[in-house]
Amino acid sequence: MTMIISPELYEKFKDEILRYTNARQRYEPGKPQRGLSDAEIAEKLGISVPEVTEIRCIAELDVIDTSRFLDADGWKQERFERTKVGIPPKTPSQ
Amino acid sequence: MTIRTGPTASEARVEDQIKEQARQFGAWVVGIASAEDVNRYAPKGHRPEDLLKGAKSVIVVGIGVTSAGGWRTGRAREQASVGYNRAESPAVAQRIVGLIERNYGYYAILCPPGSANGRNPYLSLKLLAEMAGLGTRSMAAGIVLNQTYGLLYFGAAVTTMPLAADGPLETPVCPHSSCVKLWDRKATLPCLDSCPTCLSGELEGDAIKWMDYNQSHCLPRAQTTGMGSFQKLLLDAMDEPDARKRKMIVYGSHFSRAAASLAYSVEIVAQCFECVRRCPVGRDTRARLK
Repeated sequence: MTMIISPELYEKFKDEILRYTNARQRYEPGKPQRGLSDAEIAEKLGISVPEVTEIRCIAELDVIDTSRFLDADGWKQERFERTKVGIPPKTPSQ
Repeated sequence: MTIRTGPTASEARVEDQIKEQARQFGAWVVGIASAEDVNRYAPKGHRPEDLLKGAKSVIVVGIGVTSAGGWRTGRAREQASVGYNRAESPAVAQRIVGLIERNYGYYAILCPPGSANGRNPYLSLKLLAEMAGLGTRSMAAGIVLNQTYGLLYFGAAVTTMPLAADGPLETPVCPHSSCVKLWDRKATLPCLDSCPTCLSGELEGDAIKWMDYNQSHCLPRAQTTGMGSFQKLLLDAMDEPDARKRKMIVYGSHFSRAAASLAYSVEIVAQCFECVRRCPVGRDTRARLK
């Protein structure tokens, strides 16, 4: 069931839930590592799966500042113009 | 429809037949994963069985989508516009679904290409591709790189049909030998150098020691005008008390592109190619054209 969760519940769990997810991914060959599913997080925190899902979905977007979307095209173009590894771009960032 | 319980002798090479069909449908590469292999890594709720009761196999297809010419555009923006759409790989996988049900009499379902909720997929296409032997995880954000083509986009058909699985590759695709040499000289790699805020990691000898990927930093670059961008700007506009400033947000070029993304299903995902732009894996394949 989809629900609109309370801001209080969101604030209480958002950081912890995000830490358990795939938002940060670590890969080491031979070591199985993955983020937890919503059901696994719910069991860990003692709240319902739909609550975890809602908090996670909101937090995934909440942690990204709008400016990072607006700046992204300029950043990508700057990287695009780099010619060698470790060499600064030819033109300054837009 | 006749539902059978196992392959017959005449289906001994049925895997090859399915793969050949997949290639004719447009797959650049195709492999088969066993549901059992996937279950060893995927959590409950994200396993083939969760999508289709009695699932035994997953047929995974990979398509480059970005043409060789697409890698030679003059600006990052053009490649972002044409580099990917959600249609091609799932369309091929959907045709495999039909093939299996009509020709072989087993249940099959398309692995939904979108996210189930937020960023969580129904099934991890990366994991499916790995288990089907189509590539291995790389230093570039853990993207599964194919040994021949490098970056590919994947689609998958889940089926109750028992098929011989290809299984994961024994030799990792990443790091490329030239990257090992570069690491020895400069302690960096093309992917790490391109995006130090999203990526970090180390090689040890000729293998990946560890790789760390920050999805929250990657997303605004990979989905610059996607759904998240639309939601962020919409909320900013709603929160803005000055009507003139609201207009600047909503009529501005970025919000307009975000709205176009939703309307036309373009520029929604995969708008950043920087961590794989100078990746040597698969580069030879796209450098052969005139």
